[in-house]
Amino acid sequence: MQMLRRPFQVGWAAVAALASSPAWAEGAAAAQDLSRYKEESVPGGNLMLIAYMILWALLGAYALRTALRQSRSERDLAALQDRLDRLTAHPEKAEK
Amino acid sequence: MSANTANLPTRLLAGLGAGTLLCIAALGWVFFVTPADENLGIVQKIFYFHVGTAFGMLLCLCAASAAALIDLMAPNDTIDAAGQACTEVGMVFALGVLTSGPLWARKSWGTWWTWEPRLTLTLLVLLIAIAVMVLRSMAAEAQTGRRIGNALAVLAAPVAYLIHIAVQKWGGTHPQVIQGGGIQSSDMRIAFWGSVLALLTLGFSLVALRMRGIRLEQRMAHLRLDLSALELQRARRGVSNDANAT
Amino acid sequence: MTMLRLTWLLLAKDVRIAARSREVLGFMLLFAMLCVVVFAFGFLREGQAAQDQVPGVLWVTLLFTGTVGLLRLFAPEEEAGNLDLVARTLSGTAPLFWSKAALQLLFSGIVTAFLLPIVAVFFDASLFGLEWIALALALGLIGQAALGTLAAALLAQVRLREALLPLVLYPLLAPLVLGGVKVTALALTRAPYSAFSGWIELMLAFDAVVVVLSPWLFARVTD
Repeated sequence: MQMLRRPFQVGWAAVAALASSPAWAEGAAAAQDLSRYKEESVPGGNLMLIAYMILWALLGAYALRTALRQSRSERDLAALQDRLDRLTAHPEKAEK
Repeated sequence: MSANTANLPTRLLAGLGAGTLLCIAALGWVFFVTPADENLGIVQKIFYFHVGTAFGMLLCLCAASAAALIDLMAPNDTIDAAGQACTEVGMVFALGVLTSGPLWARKSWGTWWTWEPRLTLTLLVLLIAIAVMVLRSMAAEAQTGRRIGNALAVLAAPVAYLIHIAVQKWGGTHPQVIQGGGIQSSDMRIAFWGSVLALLTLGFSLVALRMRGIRLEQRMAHLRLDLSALELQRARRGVSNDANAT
Repeated sequence: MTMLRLTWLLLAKDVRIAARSREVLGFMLLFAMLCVVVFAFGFLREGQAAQDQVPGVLWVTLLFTGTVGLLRLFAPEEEAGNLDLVARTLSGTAPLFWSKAALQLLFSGIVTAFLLPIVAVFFDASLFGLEWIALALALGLIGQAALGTLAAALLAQVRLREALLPLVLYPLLAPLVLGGVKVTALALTRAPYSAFSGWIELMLAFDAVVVVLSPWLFARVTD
């Protein structure tokens, strides 16, 4: 699980950093001169951030759910296979 | 738990890692290199991943329909698993499109929702995908569910094309805003195609991941059948032994 | 026995069953009436109708009422538990499919004939003598019957079918409903054919697709 989760954690951290850092807003504004958008009534930047957060939340949640379900399936499968093996190999032992 | 996921094939992990890294790289490019749109401002940056998500949705759902057709003609567990995985990932992408679309529309068209052709098509296609999955899960037997889900998925492809034409004629008087407010520079072009590539890579590896899960579930169903057959056999033998003893 | 004759015999059988109980058609007619009344609650302002409500009321009522018929389409076979058996004995599912689709078309045709004057009176619209509305209605009902018969067959093997049929049917029927509403609206304003020819063509294309694909898929799910 660890191996799988790490890339997503990194991704999350990146998005969270982008979202929260005031330095980012300043940097972006300085780099791209966004001053003329300041008067706009609809806060486009917030909408965009929400959109990106929802998108990554969706993808991350799906990946996580799939991975968790899969590890459960693997456990169940191993248990089943084990029972089946014991049943076929040593039928008398499996009686207990 | 870590012992279990260590079983994930390296190729799969590599794919997921590559998809995630590409997405981070594309995000970095979109936010730190690409200039803001001249007319729409910062909100236009939704466009790069919004369109990539829409591409992913279309690819996944087309593939799901194709897989359904193949599986209907010649049943094949792998193809069926691929079809199911594509349907699921396509639905996740569709949800992404349907949330980022209105957020963008709020800014650029001044309203949360318009019956703009592409949004309408996405909504209807998502509803059809939901119908396919629900139909499948509601059948009394797994094999019946598989057949009827496939039948609906096959029908959905040409009908979705007609829906596409219909909603375009229907919303036809609407101003055609998209094409991102226009890609204005080569940085924007790189950001756009980079995001598309990143999302498709991620989507593809998610499909592969889910497919593996479905294959496991299929194998489990087979094993359960074997096991219950064996146990039945044993129970019968036990009964006949008892009968002999008495 | 030719396929056509088989289809005819099956249809005659279903019509006889329906005539004996009179349940399905009667309920469809009643339901259509109720829909119109409920739409009047929702859309009429001070007892007056606006012309642009008429197409929507007409087509949505037909969509809803069609669902009622489709839910009972395979009821005789289901109650006897022999849908698979019927399909198999006929050496091919085509007659079964076409007889059911024809039955649905017959019922919804009767409902439409009953509905038009009601909508015309209640919503104060002159729906008659407009051949393009009649054509659009025919195309819509044919498409709904072909797609709906397949959907009903898919759902015959599923739990919670009353809830699921709309989920399967309504999104897929979007081109027909959109086209029907547009053609009706334009024809009511006496627009020339060229104003809505594209919609008629789209409805024709939809019908062609479902008339070919539905029986093919039907054969694969009733095997």
